[in-house]
Amino acid sequence: MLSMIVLTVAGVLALFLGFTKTKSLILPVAMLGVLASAAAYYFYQSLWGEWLLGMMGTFGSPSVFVGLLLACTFVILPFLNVYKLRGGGELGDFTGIILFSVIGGMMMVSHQDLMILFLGIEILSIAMYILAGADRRVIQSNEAAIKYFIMGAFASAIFLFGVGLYYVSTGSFKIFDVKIIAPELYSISILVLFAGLAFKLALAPFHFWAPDVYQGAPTIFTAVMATLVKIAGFGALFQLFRYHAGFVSEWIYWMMILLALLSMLIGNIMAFSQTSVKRLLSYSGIVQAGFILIGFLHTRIENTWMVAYYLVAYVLASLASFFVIYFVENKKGSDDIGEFKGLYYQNPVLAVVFTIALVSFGGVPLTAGFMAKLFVLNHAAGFGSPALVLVSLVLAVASMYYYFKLINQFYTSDESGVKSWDISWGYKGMLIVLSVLTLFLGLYPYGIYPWIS
Amino acid sequence: MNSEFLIHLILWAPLVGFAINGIFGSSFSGKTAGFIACLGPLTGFVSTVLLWSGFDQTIQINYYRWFGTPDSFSVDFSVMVDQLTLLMLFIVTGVGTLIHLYSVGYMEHDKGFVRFMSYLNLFIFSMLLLVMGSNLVMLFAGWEGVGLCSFLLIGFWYKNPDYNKAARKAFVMNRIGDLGFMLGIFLLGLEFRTLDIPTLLSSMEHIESGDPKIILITILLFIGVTGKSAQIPLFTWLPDAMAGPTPVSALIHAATMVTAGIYLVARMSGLFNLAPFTLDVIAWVGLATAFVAATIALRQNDIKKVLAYSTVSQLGFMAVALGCAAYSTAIFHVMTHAFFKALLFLGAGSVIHGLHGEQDISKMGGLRNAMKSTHLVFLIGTLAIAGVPPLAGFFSKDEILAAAFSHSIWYFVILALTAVLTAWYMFRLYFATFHGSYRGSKETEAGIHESGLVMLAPLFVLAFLSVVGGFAGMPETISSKHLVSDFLKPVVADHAHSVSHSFEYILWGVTLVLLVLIVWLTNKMYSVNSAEVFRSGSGWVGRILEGKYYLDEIYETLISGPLRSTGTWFKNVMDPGVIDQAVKLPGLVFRNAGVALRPLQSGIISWYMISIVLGLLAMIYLFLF
Repeated sequence: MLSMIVLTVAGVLALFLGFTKTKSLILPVAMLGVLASAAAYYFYQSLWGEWLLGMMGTFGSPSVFVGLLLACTFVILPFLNVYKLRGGGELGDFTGIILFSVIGGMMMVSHQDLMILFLGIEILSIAMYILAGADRRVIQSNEAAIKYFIMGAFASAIFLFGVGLYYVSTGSFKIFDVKIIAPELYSISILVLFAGLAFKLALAPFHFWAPDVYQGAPTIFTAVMATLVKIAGFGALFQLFRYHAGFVSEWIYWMMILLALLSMLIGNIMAFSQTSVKRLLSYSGIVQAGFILIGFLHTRIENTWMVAYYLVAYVLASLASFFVIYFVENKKGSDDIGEFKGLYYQNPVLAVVFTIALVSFGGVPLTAGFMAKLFVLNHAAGFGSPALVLVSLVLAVASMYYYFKLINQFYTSDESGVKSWDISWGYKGMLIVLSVLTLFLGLYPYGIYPWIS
Repeated sequence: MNSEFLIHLILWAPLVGFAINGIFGSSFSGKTAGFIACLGPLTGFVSTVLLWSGFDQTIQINYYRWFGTPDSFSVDFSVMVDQLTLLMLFIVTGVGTLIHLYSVGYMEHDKGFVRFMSYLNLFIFSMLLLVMGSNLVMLFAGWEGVGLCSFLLIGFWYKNPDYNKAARKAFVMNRIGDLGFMLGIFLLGLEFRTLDIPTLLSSMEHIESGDPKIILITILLFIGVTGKSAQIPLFTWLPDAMAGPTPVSALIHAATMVTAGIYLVARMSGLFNLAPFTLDVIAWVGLATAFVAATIALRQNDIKKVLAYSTVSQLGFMAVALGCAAYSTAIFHVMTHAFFKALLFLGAGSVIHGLHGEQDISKMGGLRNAMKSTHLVFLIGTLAIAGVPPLAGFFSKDEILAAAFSHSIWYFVILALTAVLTAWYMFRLYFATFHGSYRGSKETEAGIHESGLVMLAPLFVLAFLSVVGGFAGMPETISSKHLVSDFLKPVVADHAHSVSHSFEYILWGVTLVLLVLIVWLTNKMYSVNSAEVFRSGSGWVGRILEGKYYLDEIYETLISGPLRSTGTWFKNVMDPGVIDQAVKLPGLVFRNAGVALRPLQSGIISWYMISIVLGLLAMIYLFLF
């Protein structure tokens, strides 16, 4: 709770600093706020095990996902500075909004009560609608915001419907220690809740908003959507399934397998013929979400690390690739695949960072993405779904096609005669750190085990 | 000092050297780079000595869990040091240090000097990983690492297409072997659910001797050995590997890397003991290799090629020792061979250096006056490899012969004959190089010079070791203590029988008589003034030997050729007709599916919402019915 209060204070401070002339203080204050919040969470975790009459708690998985959320925010914040340079202007507002959205995410992952989960989803989502429309003068950005908002409201309604069914069938909003009064209705309520969350996670067939919104939103906020929302969503799903998947009939796993396969299949098919890199990555994100969902089969607290590991690998690669797209877009004004031609000769660091991120998405050995897929598929094989493993493998291999099509562009020499260009060392350093972490986790996957289990 | 700390030091020092030279090398002067490069193996050697002085039991260090599956199968990044490893550490770091030192002199004028030294460091690191790895995956990582370094160093002068070809050949041949090795590892993992070597060996106790699975596994492992340790049929890469700079030939292709296969079998001796059939295969392959290579060496005129075939032949000797289950004997020969073969190669390098790159012995002769020190050490090396008592080669070779005799008379006969051939081709080489009169052109004669001290110093150390190295393993007739096999006893499961003393004496007597005869004959034949005797012979035997049994050509016609024409057929018919279509088909399906599905992604929100509702309804429907 204290950590959320700290974040709120930091967010409000950022908003106020936006009015004053000391705009350069905004990001340091926000980053300090994130650190302080993490410290508060870490040190008061045992004291404040449950908050708000037990509607939120830290027992089990939440602490892992909260840590991921805060770490991810900490990496994203400094890159906002570049957005300011581009003339966006309202740095204080966006910093504050991102911090508030993290609070929503923290509520989602540590909920023990569906009301809190719903509140968290709304806080996070409203923040995202605003961020998607941040570029007011660009029509696509506006379109993305409106689309996301209407669809999101619709999904929220579905989710609320699920909450209602849950209440009817159990007589409570609490997610554990419930008496199931009407088993069939209860099962359907879990399914509907699942569908509501699946929308946020962009799992097929609830994924249609994702490509449009990812492409239209300013790239830096696309990175926020691709990472923070996914962490929060999967964290919330984990918390929910941890208590309930066991009570629902075996069919819930078939549903998950179905959604996972559908996501991987549709994501791959659509990614094949994209020319916008942001759109391509949004489809690739759908594929990755499908893979993560496999880790939810037979959700148990012991599986937290596996899901968290995949999320870490995914977040590292996503941040790196969206940041690179962001810089290239800044430079050339478009994220078309052709703009990446000869990137290696213009800016070798960006090209190599992007390459590592893409092969990690594809699951090439020695990267974190490979180990993540290995763990998840091993899990699936352990529960006797060889067909699922086989299909996933084939689809993972097929995804190499469009990743390498993109990578190929970086190393093809470009005749347009664009001079080599550079970005400042601070950003370059952070991108390199992301890549090194990707490789490090591929070589030494158990290195973060104590942190995520 | 803390022995764990010493192990860290041994393993990582060469890698640090490689990293420093590899990253910052371009800004270093040659001296600095050379110094840094030598420091790596030297640190390793000093640490090994310190480790040995305080050694009492096997030390295992587990760095971290590398990967694994949830059901308890796990591979760690871990190293261990036991007696066998310690002995190999002495060889690798000791001989390695000397050769690094020598390279500083030999390569100083080369443009790629820093690159060369950093590759050497990387090689030492990989080799250390190989001998220290405590599970088969670590061992395999080192195994591939040395293969890679060997490839890089053979093709070091990459502007020469022939050298690149030799490098490729070495790599491909090794890969063929590696496939067997890998399959062996997979089967072991499947069968025993672990790849940790001590655990594997301790679980062998419950296995019956001659279990077909074990035989299959050991045969697969041995296929790996034939690649790395240059046994028939995969040995033809080694002579070609002489394209690399001479210190490389000495370090990698004589003293250390090629003995990795021998090390592997000795390391897994508990496993191989359960497969008598495999041991017989190893022995026969070793015999054939030793004999064939020795006969080829009789008619070669390139100084390094002779030494290369001699290496192959000596590796055959080691394989025979393994096949007789005399593992510590094989390791003993690995040790003495490292001394005298490194010495011979470096001596040959000194000769080549002095003659500005001339390698053809028909154009040498009479060098004993111009290169006194080199002549002396080369003579010592020749005596050692020929098995003159009491030099190093005598004791180890004698032990292998004894092991062969106790096993089968046929082993002994072939091996003894090969030993005679060994003495013959070595003295031929020696007399042709250093005796008679100079047969090259007049201009080159004036330029002959002795090598500098930085090259000679390692030679003297190796010469000293070649003289006294054999005393570490004296036969029972002289001393009751056999230092090497006593030292290795706890970790190597020897199975060999001893022979009677009278047999030993007879063996020595015959050896001596034969040696004197050979020296007399070769001196008469090859201490000559004209290059006449080195010309190609007219007899068919000579032609076959000169053509190296036409093995390269046989492989070409039987394997490479058909493969290539199959490849061409695939390229022209199969690939565009079938494979391309088969690959394009899914691509086409995906693409068209993408195009077909695109209207779904219409951007119209109401359709998106309908899809959500339909999806949810479908889920509920499936769920309920």
